[in-house]
Amino acid sequence: MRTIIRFLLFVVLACTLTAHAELVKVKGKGEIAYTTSHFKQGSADELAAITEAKKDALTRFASDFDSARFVLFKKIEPEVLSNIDQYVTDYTQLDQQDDKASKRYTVFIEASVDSTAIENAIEKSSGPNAPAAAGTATANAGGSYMTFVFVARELASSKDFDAKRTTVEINESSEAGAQKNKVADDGQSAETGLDKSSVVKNTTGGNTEIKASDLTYRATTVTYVDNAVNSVLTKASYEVVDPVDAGLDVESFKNDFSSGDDISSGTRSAAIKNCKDKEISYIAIANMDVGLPEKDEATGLIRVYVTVTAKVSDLTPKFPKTVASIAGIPYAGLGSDPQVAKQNALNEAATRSASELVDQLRMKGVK
Amino acid sequence: MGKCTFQSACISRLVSKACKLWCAIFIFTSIAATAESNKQDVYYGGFAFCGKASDADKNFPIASSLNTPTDDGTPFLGRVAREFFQKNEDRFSRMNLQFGSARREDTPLVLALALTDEKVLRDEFNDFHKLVIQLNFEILILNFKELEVVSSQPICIEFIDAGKEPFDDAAVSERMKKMVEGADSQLFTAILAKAEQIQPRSKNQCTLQVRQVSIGEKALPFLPELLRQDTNAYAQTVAQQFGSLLTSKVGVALLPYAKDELNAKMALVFSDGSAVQFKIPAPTFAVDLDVKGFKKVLDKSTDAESLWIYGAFLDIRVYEPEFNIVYLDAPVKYGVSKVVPATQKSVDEFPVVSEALKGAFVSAIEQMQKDKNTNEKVLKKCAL
Repeated sequence: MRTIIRFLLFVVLACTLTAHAELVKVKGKGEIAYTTSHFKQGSADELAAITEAKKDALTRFASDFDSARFVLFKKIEPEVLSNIDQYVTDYTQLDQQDDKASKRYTVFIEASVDSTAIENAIEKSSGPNAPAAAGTATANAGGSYMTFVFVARELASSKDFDAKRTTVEINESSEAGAQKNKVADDGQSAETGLDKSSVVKNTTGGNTEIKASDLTYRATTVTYVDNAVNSVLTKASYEVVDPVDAGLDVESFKNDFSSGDDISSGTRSAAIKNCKDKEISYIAIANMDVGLPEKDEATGLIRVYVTVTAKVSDLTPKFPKTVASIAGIPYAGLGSDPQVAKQNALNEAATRSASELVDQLRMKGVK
Repeated sequence: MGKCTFQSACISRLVSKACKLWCAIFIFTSIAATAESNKQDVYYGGFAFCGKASDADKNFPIASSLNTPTDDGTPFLGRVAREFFQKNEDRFSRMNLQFGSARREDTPLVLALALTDEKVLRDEFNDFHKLVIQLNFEILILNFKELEVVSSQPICIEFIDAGKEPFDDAAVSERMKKMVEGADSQLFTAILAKAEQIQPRSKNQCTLQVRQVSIGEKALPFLPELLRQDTNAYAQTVAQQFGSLLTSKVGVALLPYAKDELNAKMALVFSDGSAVQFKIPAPTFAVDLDVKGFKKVLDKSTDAESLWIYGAFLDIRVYEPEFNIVYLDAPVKYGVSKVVPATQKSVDEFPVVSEALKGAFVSAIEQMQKDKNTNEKVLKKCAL
């Protein structure tokens, strides 16, 4: 009776513990060469083949990561593979083949990979709280502060200029001729003739000057974008300081981004000085261009693209240096109206670009 | 004293028995409650048209025109579907079907009834007009968090009518309404027959998907003009009919057929106007169907009538797509006979070849079951 109760309690506990694991199904193949005369089901060889298949499934899972995340995964790969059962929580054996001639046993499985556990392992090894590996040149020690300014901007007005055409025309004319005098044989009369040809040469040319459109943007900072970025950075264990608390003049960032693609030297110098004074080691600056709403053919909803350009600067050296950057990556958002679509796109762009920056920072060992 | 000791022993035995009984009842009710709680909550999500929102009127012209708002403001198809599921929620015994608005913390699983294909074939033979209405539905369980299709059950219904007068859109609409309205309609009878199989996929459940359907040139002369021009539409019907028969006969976890294999997505336009695009996950196992063609052979002929045999020729391939492990790769053929009176000038061949193709599907499914490898390694692993 007690055994049954214990079993039920164990089941309930196991269900509770696994409730938050995010499982992804991935297939894997494991192959081993066996040394015995014939392959035996349930033997150590079979277990070894299944372990190989689990490792293969995990490698296939990681192959979908973007480059920065893949580098981070590679760092923890040996540790993950040596504890494969923590990361591949379950599997279904799909098929097996026993090639008796070459004494090779192959097993095919569909594995449940715990992506949350892998994320935690990456975080543990590369996040700000990770112990610095021997010989690794990290950008800074743990506990450094980071602040960010994410400015969203959308086109407020566009002044287009007509093409300016300058035409140059050179007209040249010349005449050439020969006079012929013919005297009659009797010497009494003479005939004079004039052969004349004229040439008119027109040379036209010039240039067309096209002036770029004068674009004015409406730049804003959005609370939900700040919250999304804050959430990603905090989850990645960075010490995030609100830009206002960091003493940054957010208005000057907005003014700069409303007329150009980059911040002015004045705004940058002031921000860097402020951060350095307050011992804030990193500043992330992003410019999010909100595109025009368009109809999504598949769903009939409104789609808005947001293109993100961002960079994180390390302020600890004498001269600030860029430690992570993304350029012109578009993110789409769908919604029932342009406002909802824009909000979704900004949220998506903020979360994903912040995650991308975090991956790059971890890759460089910035803590 | 001895009597007292005897009574005390009896009481302690009784108490002990009562304790055991209570423990047994407790364990039994706990197990029953666990089994009940193991059934996943699934919210009813409504009726949807499958495909691009902008194409709903073009792809489903009659069903769209039928889907006008009823007296409570709900579009017709959305209302009949909701009423049916509410009335029969107990019949869907493999899940806890819930109605109302799901909160963020509730289950992300949603059940939807989607119309995937509407075909109206109108033909004229001698002095009568013929009408065939084919409606293909999918009962989908969708994961709104991951925006992914969890499982599907294809439902194919067909209505055939003939008359002296041609069938206009109003007549077609009236007949289509009868196919889908009311508890004893074709649609809901077909859904109830599969109600026990509709469930979210369990953790280690393998899935099967009809992945590729090709229509051979020798099939084209037997198809109505509409399908001859659009073989993709016919491929969709073939995939769904096969899937419907497979789930009825074997009861496997199926994923919907994706016309565009590379972009395996399913866009759904719900009755309330909302539109969502779902990813169809990669299946564990796949089935490719190659409808090679149809053939007719004169078997017997007398002055009064002639007997024709119509054959359907099909190649079926069951495999694991990632490592390309092939379990079954076999040709299947099936013939049906048709008696044609000498007075009949033309024959409507499409229903005959369709019947032959269904026979070929049944033969193919039987082959899958009889083949030990396919049965053990594929069908049993995908069994619901």
